[in-house]
Parts: sequence; C-alpha cells; structure tokens
Amino acid sequence: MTEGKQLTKGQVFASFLRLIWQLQPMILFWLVLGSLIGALQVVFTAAIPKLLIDAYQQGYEANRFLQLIGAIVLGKLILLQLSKVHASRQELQNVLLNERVVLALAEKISRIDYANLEDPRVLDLKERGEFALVNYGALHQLFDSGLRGTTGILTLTGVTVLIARFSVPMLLLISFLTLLSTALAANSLKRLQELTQNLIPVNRVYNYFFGKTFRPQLQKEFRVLGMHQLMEKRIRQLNQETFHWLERMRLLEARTSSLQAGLQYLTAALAMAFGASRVLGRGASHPIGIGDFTFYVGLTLQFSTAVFNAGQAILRVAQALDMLSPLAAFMAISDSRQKSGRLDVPVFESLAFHNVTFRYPGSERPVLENVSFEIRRGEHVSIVGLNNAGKTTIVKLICRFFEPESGEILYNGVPIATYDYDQYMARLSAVFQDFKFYPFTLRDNLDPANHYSNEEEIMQVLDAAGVGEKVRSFPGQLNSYLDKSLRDDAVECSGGEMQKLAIARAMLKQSDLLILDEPTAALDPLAESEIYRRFGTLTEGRTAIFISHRMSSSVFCDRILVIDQGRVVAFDTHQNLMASDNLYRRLFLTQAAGLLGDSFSS
Amino acid sequence: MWPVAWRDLIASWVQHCLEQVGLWEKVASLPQGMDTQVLKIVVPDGVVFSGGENQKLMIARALYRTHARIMIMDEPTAALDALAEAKIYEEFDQLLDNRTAIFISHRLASTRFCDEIMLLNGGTIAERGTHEELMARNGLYAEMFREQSKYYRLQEVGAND
Repeated sequence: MTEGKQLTKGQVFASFLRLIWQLQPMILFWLVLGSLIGALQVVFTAAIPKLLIDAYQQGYEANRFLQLIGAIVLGKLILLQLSKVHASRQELQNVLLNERVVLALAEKISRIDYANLEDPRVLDLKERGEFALVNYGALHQLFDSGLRGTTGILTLTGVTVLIARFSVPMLLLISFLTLLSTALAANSLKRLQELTQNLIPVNRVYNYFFGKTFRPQLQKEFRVLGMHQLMEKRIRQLNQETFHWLERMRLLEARTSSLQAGLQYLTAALAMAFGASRVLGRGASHPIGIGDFTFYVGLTLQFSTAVFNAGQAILRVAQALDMLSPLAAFMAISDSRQKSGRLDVPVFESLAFHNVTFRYPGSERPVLENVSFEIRRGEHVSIVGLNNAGKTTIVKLICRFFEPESGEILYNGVPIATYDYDQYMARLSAVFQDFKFYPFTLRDNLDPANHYSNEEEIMQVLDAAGVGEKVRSFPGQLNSYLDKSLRDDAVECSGGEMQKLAIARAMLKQSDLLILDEPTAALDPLAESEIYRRFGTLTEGRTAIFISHRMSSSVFCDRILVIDQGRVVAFDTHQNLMASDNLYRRLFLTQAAGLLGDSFSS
Repeated sequence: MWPVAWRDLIASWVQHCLEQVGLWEKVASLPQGMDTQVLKIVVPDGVVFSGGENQKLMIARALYRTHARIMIMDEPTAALDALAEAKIYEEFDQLLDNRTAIFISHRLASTRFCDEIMLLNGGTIAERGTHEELMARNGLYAEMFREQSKYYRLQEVGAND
C-alpha cells in the first residue's frame, strides 16, 4: 500500500492547487484582485502627503487645493470600498471552498476501499485532515496568508520601481538593510517552525481529549468511575506543554521583532538623512522638494514593512500546508478497484473459502489462517468460536470489505472479486453487530431502496420478526420517525425492538445469502426464543450464516463451523459435534450447565 | 522506598483484577504490559482490544475500585464467549469480595448465583425472590427461564439417546 506516505510541502501545495482548480477556480481571481487592491492602497497612502505638500509649495489657490483634497478623499474612499467588497467576497469564497473540500473528503471516503477505513494509519490521516480543515481552519489560513503574501510581493515590486526612480544607491542601501532584517527573520522563522512542529502533535492530542470530554456517552463513566480525572489531568498537562512551546515561540518572535524594529528605524533614519541631503542640495546633481522627500521616506518604510509581511505570510502558508499535509495524503489514496469486477452475478449456489489467510492492516498476527469451508444453497450455518476467533472477519471478507491476503473466496466456484460489485451486494443481506438506524422514517430505514410499494408486505416481515404490533402502536405507524436527536415527535424503541427492526430490515432486502452477526444479543429470553422459533420461516429458501455466543442458536442450524484461533477445527452437524469432545461441545455444555445446573455437564 | 513499594502494590492489584477477568495473559503479552496505551488514535503503537476483551477490561476496572462497596453490572458479559462468561460467573463471589452487586442481564444463567431476583415488567416489579422461589411460582420468570433453557434441554434428551 502506498497509503499514508508523508508528502513534501511542494506536493501538498500542488495537490491543493489542483483540487482548488477543480472545485473553485474563481477563488484565485479574487486572490489576485485582492492583492492588487492592497498594493495600490499602500502606494496611494504613501503618495498623499507628497501631493498635498507639492500643491502647497506650488501655491495652489484655495479652490484648487480643495479640489485636490476632494480627489484624494474620493480615491481613498473608492480603494477602501473596493477592499471591503473584496474582503467580503474573499471570505465567502473561502467558506465555500472549505465546504467543498469537506464534501470532496466525504466523497473520497465513499470511493476508497473499505479496508482503508479500518486502518488506524488511514483513520489518523482522515482525523488530522478533518481537524485541520474544520477545527483549525487551515484552508482559511492558507488563503488569508496567501493574500497577504502576494499583496506584500506586489507592494514590494511597486515600491522598488518608485524608489529606483528616485535613487538607485538609496535602493541598494535599504535593500541591504532589509535583507539583513530578512535574514534575521528567516533564521528565527526556521526555529519557529521547528517549535511549531513540536506543538502540532500536542494540539492534536489536546483536541482529541478536549472534544471527547463533551461526549454525552462518556458522562456516565465520568460520574460513577471518575474517568474525568484522567481526562482533566491529561488536558492540564497538554495545556502546560502548549504553554511551554508557545512561550518559547513568543519570546523568539519578540526578540526577532525588536531587532527588526531597530533595523527598520535605522533604515528610516538613513533614508531621512539621505533624503534631507538631497533636499538641501548638498553633493547631489539636482535637489528635490519636501513633497518628494516625504513620499520617498514613506516608501522606504513601506518597503521594509512589505518585506516583513511577505516573509511572515510565507511562513504561515508553509504552516498551513503542514497542517493540510495529512488531508492531501488522504486524498491521494487511490480509489477502490473493488468495483472493477464486471461478471454478472448468477443465483447463489455455493460459497467457498479456499485456504484463506487474512490479517488486518497494521497487525502482525493473522486473524484467519488457511481457512477452508463450503456453504451450499439453502443451508443454515452457524459460526462458533471463542472471542477473537475470527468469526466476524469471515463476514467482512464475504461482504468484500477486505480482500484475503492469500487463498480464494469463491461464489459458485468463481472468485468474488471478479463479479460486478453492485450485483454481488444485491445478493447479500446482513445484520451487523453494530447495526445503525438513522433519523428517517421507519419505512425509509427498513426499505431504503424503496423496493416495496405495498406497506402490508413490510408489515408482514415486521410481524415475523415480532415487532409488528409495536409498529402498529405508533400513531404514524411506518411513517413514524426514528431517533429523537433530530425530531421531537420521533418514536422510541427499546434495544430489543431495535434489534428486531434490524433483523426485519435484513429480511426485507430480497437476498440469496443472509448474514446474522449476534442478532439476538440485546433480546430478552422470550424475544430471543421467539426469533429462534421464527428463524425457519424468516430464512426460508435463503442461505443463512449465523454468528452467536448463545450456543442454543446453533441447535437449529444445519451445520456448525467451529473456528479456533483463526483456524477451522470442525464443520459438522450439532448431533455429530456433541458426540465427541471438542471446543463446540465444551462451549455448549458450559452454557447449558450455567442455566440448568452442574448435573447436566457431568 | 515507599513510593516504589506503593507503585508495586498498585501494579500487583491491577494484575490481580486483570487475572480475575481472564485478561492478564493478554496484557502481559503486550510489549509494555499494563503501561501500554489503549487505542491507536493518540499513540500509534497503542493496543486496540476486541469487544470481548474490552468487556473484560471494563469488569476489571470496576473491580479495581475496592473501596466501592456497591457494584452495578449492566449486561457485563453480552460480548463474551461461553467459556469466558462461565469463568466470570463461577468466580463471581470471589470477584465481588463481599460487595453488594446489582446484576442486569438477559442471560438467565447469571441469576443462579444471585441472592435475589427482581423481575421488572412494564416499569413495575412483577416478581421478586430466589431462583427456586420464582420457578415454583411459575410466572413470567419461570416462562423466560424455560424458553432460554429449552434448546439446551432438547439436547439433554438428544445426548442421552
């Protein structure tokens, strides 16, 4: 896998430029316009005293003088208005781009292989990228600083041309001093960036913990078990670390800017001395007026300010690119190739694992080792094993969430990856351990593809799952909303009812193969027994794979696949497995003895 | 040195709690033992426990609070396999160490080692007593118990054939 590689700043910059060019090229136009307006403002402001002093010296009449002032005020006003319009436009563009990039991130998540989403390294990239984008506003920083940087460079160009017209030796002199100041700044910027590198991981961890403390789900354990003490301690410690690095950064910044200020004053003093000597006409070929003097001294000051601004902006741009680097790395993950299969998927006949070995990304131990078994059409199979045996992993492989490291998974004798992805998924249905319902209507939740036109058909399946009566008791019946987080009038269901709804949803999808991973974990004994009783009808004509820690559930399955530490240890009927000592028999008798007393197991 | 001794004492108590829930072997196998960070999100080489292991860890955490004399356990074994669950049940008295315990579970095997069972139905206490008393009463509890043990009983008949 190439995923999770560190990108250079240049690569990050190029990848964002490409992304922005695709999503919103207009933002670049506003950026250029903004820097032009900014640069014009600086030069115009520096020229105002010159215009006034020149006019005064040339003895303008009051009328013309007033006209000049009017023109200056108007010019200033227009520039100010332009920059205001631009600022609001730029802000709008920034917000829009940010949202579009968030959307592009979401789309990327849906396009990459599912396996990536369980890879901690990839999740880390996503988390950091999302943090940079949503919490930190790194894209805003990129554009704000980018704007200041280009404004600085444009201003610098204009001011340089103007000063060169006045005096080349003076330009060289202030260039030298500014260069000195820039070298000083560059050195401290480099150290500042090193310090920032220390701060970024601290910030990330801080945000993780601080964000977690507000989760309502955690409050129970905070209150009863005192878990908040750990969080508080860690947050305090992270705060102190942040202060430590920030203090060093601020001190460095302060030292650098006081040195720079000193150099700036020196530059100003030299510019004034040079200008004054020209005004007084000593040594120079032709003296200049007071207006020009003011203008050039002003420009000199703007020159060093522009260099300083541009330098700082470039640092901030680099910082933003650092923050955005994980996002760029995430966006660089290749799109899923899983959907490249083109073969039409025939009616289910058999599913076979052939020497399948698999380990999770970033994990050393294989979860499954040389697993082989075959399930035939119409069979009801139970997968049994201790915790971590690899039962759920088998489900994930069948669902094409992951690809085996070696070995093959065959559907009707053909590797599953060669089949058309959507057609293959249409043959599958599942109740996952961590099933979810969404704040839509019950009907939408149960039949997301809107496959059923007749509500009665849906109600029949709900009856079979034992939750029909409950649904009929809702005022809105199937049109009731689930999940109170969005709607006050949403209906409330218990954990057991939710589980029955999840089973019904899986049934409603007309599939050949049905996977039920711990579908009765939240059910009370009566409801569980009811589901077992109805299991035959519910899965009639379908092939079913059943995973449960409740051994009673395997009694009515045709065959039981026993997995121990990632290996198949048996695949036989309940009767046969109970005839000799093996893991299955031990598990079954242990649970039976728990219920019926020790006499049973002896 | 007192602080070191104190640390050792805590470490041995942590180990004891983990041993009781059957998680010590796993923790001891980690490179940094009980000092290993949980989850990979903050520390890349942290350990990610499975659902069953997490559940054992949660029980161990509750046990660690030796000064707490009331223990509430809400479906503490839902994610455990039969052997791990039986181990918790068998050693329950020892685990609790004279603490008062309230145990909530859909697995009725758990009621056998409880002194008293309270059956809630529709927000009221419908039945209350020992397992034997409630079975004799032949009410909702007895019905639930029969339903859950039915499939194991069927096997009893089958095994004797």
